[in-house]
Amino acid sequence: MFIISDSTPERDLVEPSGMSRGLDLSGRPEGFGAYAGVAEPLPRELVVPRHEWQARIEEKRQRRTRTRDLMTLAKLPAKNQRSIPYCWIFAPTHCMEIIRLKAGLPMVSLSPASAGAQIKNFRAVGGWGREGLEFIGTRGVVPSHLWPDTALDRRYLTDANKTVALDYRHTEWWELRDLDEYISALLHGFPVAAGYNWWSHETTTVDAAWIDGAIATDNRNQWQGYGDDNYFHLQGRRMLPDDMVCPRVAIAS
Amino acid sequence: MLKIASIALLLAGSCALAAPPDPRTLARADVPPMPAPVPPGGEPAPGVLALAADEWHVIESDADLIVLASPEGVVKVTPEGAGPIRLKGKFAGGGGKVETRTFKGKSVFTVEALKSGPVELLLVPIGAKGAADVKRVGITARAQDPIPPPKPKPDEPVKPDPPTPGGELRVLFIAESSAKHAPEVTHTLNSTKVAAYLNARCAKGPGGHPEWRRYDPDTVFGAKESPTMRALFADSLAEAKRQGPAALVVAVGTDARVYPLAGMTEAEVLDLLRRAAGDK
Repeated sequence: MFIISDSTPERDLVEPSGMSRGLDLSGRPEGFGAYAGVAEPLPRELVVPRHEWQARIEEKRQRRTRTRDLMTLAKLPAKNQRSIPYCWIFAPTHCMEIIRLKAGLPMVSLSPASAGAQIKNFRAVGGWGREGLEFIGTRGVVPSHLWPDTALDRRYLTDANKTVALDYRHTEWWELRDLDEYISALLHGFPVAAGYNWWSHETTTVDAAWIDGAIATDNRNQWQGYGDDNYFHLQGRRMLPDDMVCPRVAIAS
Repeated sequence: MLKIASIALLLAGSCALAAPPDPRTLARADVPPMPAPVPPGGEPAPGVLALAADEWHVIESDADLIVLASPEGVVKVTPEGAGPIRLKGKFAGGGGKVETRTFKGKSVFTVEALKSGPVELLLVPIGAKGAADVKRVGITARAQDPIPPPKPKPDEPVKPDPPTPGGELRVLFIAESSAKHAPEVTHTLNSTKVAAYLNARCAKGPGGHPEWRRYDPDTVFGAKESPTMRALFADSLAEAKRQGPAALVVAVGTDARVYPLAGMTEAEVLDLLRRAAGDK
C-alpha cells in the first residue's frame, strides 16, 4: 500500500519517466478551493458526520461495496497520460468511466485528449478539473477507439466524433467545497476528480479510507506502473484537494 | 364457589380464659421446626408443609389464637371463626383429592397461597407469656404463577413476490443520485455481489452486455442504449417514483414488478433476484 503523507519525501512525488502532470490552477477565475457556482454543491443533508466516517469506511470495506471493489470486479483499466500535461482532464474522464460502470453501462474507454485538446486548442498545457468536467457535461468525450487517449491532433475532430461524444456526457455533477463534502461524496459512492496545487497534479479519488487511525483517501493515478495498479493513498495535509469535482449521472448509452 | 382446601393442621389446646393455655395441647399434631427456606421451585425441606395454589391449610385450635404469617404476602390467613365448619375441597397433603372435612375447633383459620415462596406461620395463643408459647409452622407455598402475556411474535418479514420465473431476467435500480439514502440502500446500490450475480444471470443485450442498470430518475438516453432497457425504464418510472427515492424493478419476460429498496437488505435483494431468476 503506497501512502503519500505529510512526510513523504519529494523524490517519491516525482512522476515516473515518460509521465507528466498538468494541474494549473492559475487560470481558475474563482481561485483555489472556492466554489465556482457552475455545478450544484453537495446537499448538506448528504454530509456524513465525521464520527461516522471510520465505521462506514470499514463496513464498505468488509461488504465490498467500495467503488474500488466494483472497478476491480469489472477489471476497469487505469488510464495512462504519458507525457502530455493533461492530468486535469484524465481524472475527470476516468470518473466518467467509473460512473458508467456504476450505472451498469457497457465499459467504454474514453479519450481524455478528445476533451482536453478542444478546451486548450490542441496545446499541451495545464488546466484544472472543473473546466474539464464542465466541458464534458456539454460536449462529451469520444471513445478511445475513435480518438486515442493522448492524441492532440485535429484530424480526430470530425463531425462524426462530435456526435458520438454527445453520448458520453454527464448530466449531473457536484463541485465539492471542503473535506466533509469530499469524504461524504466518496462515502455515498461517487468518484472525485481531485487536483492538488502542492503537487501540480490531478488524480481520481475512488474511496475514503481509514489508515492508522486517521482519514485517508484511495486514489488512482494515470501514471503507468504507479502504486498498486495505479492506486495509492493520500493522508494528512496533502490529502485535501484544491479542485474537487464529482460527476454523478452519465447519459445512458 | 367451591374452594379447594388442604389438610388441616390441627392444634389442640385447652380453653381457659384466665390461665395461659397449656402449650402441650396447642398442637394436635407434631409441628415441625421451621426449616431452611426452599428456593422457588424446589422441594420443601423435610417437615415443611407444601401448599399448592389450589389447596388449603386449615389451622384448628381449641384456644383463641392469633395467626401471623412472616413474611407477609406469601399466604392469606383467614379467620373462619369457631367450628364446626365444613369445608369441601383439596387439602395440602391430600393427594389432590377433593374431600369434605369438618373442623370443630374454637378457632379455625384457613391459609391459602398467594405467591410462591417460603413462609412461617406464627401461632400466638391469646395471653401467651413468651416466645416459648408461640408455635411456628413452616410452609412452602406454590401459587399459580401468573400466566405471562403472550410474547408478541416478531413481525416476520414478508418476502416480496418475484415475477413468475421462466423468462429472461432484466433488472433496473432507479435511485435519485442526490438523495440521502439509508446506508443499507447505498450498500445495495454499490454491491459487488449484486453486480456479479446480475452480470451472470441477466439477459444479454446489444453487444452481449448484461441487461441490468442503475438509473437516476432523470436519466437521459443516448443512441446506443438498449431499447429494451429504455422501454423498461419508461414503463416503470412512475411506479418507481411512488415507491420512494430508490426502487428496484425486476422483469422476467414481460412480467415486471417494482419494489421499494428502502427496508430491503442487500441479502433480501439478492434473494428476490434469485427467486425471480428461478435459482431458488
